[in-house]
Amino acid sequence: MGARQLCGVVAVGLCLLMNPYGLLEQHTRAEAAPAPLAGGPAGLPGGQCPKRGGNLIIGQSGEPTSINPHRFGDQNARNIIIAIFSTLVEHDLQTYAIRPSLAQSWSISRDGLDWTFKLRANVKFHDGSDFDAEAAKASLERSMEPASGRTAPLLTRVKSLEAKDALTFVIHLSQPDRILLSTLLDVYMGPAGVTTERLGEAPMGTGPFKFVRWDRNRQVVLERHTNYWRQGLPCLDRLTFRTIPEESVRSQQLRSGQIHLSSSGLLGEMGTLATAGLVLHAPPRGFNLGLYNIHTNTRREPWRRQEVRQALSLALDREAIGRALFGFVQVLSNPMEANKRFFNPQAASYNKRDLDQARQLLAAAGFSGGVDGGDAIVCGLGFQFNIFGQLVQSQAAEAGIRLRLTILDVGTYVARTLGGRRGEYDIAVCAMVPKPDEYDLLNHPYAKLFTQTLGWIDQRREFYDLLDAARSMPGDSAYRQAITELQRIAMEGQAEIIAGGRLDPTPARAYVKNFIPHTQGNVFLEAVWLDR
Amino acid sequence: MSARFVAQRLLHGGLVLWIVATAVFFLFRVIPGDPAAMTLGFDAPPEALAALRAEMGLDKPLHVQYATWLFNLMRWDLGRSATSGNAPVAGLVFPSLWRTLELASLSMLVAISIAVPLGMLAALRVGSTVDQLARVVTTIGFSMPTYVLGIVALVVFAEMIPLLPSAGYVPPAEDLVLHIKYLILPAASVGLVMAARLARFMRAGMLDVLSQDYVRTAYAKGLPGWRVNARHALPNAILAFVTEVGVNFGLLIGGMVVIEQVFTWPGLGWLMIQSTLNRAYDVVQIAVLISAAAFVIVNLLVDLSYGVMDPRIAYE
Repeated sequence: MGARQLCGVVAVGLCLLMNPYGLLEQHTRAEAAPAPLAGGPAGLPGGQCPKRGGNLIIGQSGEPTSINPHRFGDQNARNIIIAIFSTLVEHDLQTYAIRPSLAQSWSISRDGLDWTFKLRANVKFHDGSDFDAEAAKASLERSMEPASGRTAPLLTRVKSLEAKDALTFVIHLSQPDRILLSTLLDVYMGPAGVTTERLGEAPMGTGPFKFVRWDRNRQVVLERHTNYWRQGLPCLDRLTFRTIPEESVRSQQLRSGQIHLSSSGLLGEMGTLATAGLVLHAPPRGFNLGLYNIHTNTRREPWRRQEVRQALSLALDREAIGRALFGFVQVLSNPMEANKRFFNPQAASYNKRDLDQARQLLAAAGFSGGVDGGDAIVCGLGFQFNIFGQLVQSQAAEAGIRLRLTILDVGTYVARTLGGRRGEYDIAVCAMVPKPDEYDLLNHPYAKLFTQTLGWIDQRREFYDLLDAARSMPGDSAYRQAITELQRIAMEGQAEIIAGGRLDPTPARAYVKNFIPHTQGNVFLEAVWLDR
Repeated sequence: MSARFVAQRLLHGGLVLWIVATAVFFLFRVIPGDPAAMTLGFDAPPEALAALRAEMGLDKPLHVQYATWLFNLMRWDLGRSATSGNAPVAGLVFPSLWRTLELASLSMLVAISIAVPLGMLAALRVGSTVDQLARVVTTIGFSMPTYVLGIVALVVFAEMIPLLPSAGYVPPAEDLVLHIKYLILPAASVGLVMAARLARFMRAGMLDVLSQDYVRTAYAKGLPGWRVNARHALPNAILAFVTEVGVNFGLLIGGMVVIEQVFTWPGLGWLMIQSTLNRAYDVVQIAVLISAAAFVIVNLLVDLSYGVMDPRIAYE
């Protein structure tokens, strides 16, 4: 830990001691919930920008790997892409309900196989050409190419696409799909007649900002799209996404005003940021920014045994983890707790630590003297993951589970969990960012990720069958039952141990107004304005 | 100085570069990491990763990948980097190299302008308070990691006394004054640490020369001290110093990784770090190769400069 980080820890500690829900919490409360406008951007009085113009400089933790809307792997890239491109539907940033965006409305056939989207008229691309059904069709086709990793696997039920007329676009499915709208949140609309590669080199969408230039290893510059379909937006003239990997330097530049907002939280710097009068924007109440998770390799001993997985989950002191991470953690063990609507209170909970029961479970699995849990790999995504990994190791040891901890750079972590050396670990400690809907909250931790190493798919086939079936269920009643049952199985199995919800606030200068953090860490800037 | 000597050194340099290129190519295939997974993200499914790997040519046998890369390299076709937004590799590496050369040159200028007078003064006043003080200062500088000095300089001169911008880069064509302002702190941080090292070298070299007979003879002839030092001692002491400067300059080109990271200076070191983290093999391979080539060239230039500085040295 560097001297600056140590100072940060001490300062936050002092703040929390003086007032357990003091300085930091007040900032988050004050900034958490601007009032939404129906169907429009949240937080703007009368839908108008109180002040126009200015260049918002955003500090990012790394150079984007790409600004191709169909092929990108990191949040730094996504923040730029969502400013350039729009989607057919979007999240309401307060409720996370899916609402119209480029699609003005939609209807579904009785059998649930044909989805007809009425597209918004007079929407222009950045070059002035019209957005129409052909463009929507081409965008879906690009999203279904095998290498479009984020969307292609979720669009396998699409049978055909049809541009019925200029503003009517139809998706024909081979079987009903409840998560189609949710998938469309990630399908970025570009013009027809361009290849995916070309779109990555010269990104052009219908979004609030248009691409100006990418100064490699330095910054990406965007400017206002004057023909943006949302009248009066965006408020800002220009966005500059600046690459500043060093947390201490990003924090220093934020304090000195050289950058106005840091797109990724600076948890190790919270002490200095809070005392420097910066605003820490928290996600809206009831939502978090993804989940801290521990993935167990159920193809290996001892993690093949359910009792050992349950023992580790019970050994975790989630409240202590929260305290160690400055309170920016929601205590939960069931991913659905982040979205109470479908939460199953009958499913097993591991929120309360129980070391005795953990030891009993280990004994029942034949490990009464403790067990060697093998290699715990931690993704080196930042300060908080090092702390999280160390806490998992020490708390597991108290129950008798011995772990060898290795913090890996992201490339190596990905290689050992997903890439060429996948499966080379016993447990993997990191965080994930599911969409805030009941399906992805279950699909993301247990099915979409790691299925190649998750031997659990063999042990609990019924989970995957039910998850697949739920996607086709027409009525809410059967669907609710399925989601409830899925939680029961997941909580019993503990193949993926959820250690808490991330609440890392986004730090910004006080004159950055109307910034609303998104639950997936996306930085939406169309309605942000500068008050100076 | 014979052309044969230069040709021989260039041939050796070529061999070194081929070994470096081969080592880097295979080293990056051995370390865990998957460019396709880095491009598509944590949650990319295996089918999507396989499709992208095939597009990148990573599904081919290693020897085929190596032969293709080497063949393209010899044709000076550096290709495009799929893991860096499909940018031309040359367009990423050469501007970064230029920025590193700029920073390294200024750092070296700072270092030399401190080290030469300080080292000479310490040698000429050996054992005096000045010498003791110089030793203390150089020991502190010698043992101070550059990044610590860099962060301290940032906090003091960009935050506490905001005289300079903290970290970043502005192209000279955009704003020359700001460009220079951004250069000052990183160049000073590297230059001061380097100065400590070079000053000690300068002092030792001067002490060695000052004890030589020809220096004593020059004094015996009644020449003034400044003339003895400037005309007889310094030119002889400087030879070893130039070698040290050359080696350090070569090391700086590939060794600015940390300082460029601290000051967000988008040079070759920064590029290597970012590309390694993103597993952009194609970029790192060329960046390391260019860095090695720069080292070879600087060393060759230093060797050639001996002949100019000391006519007694002739290369066969």
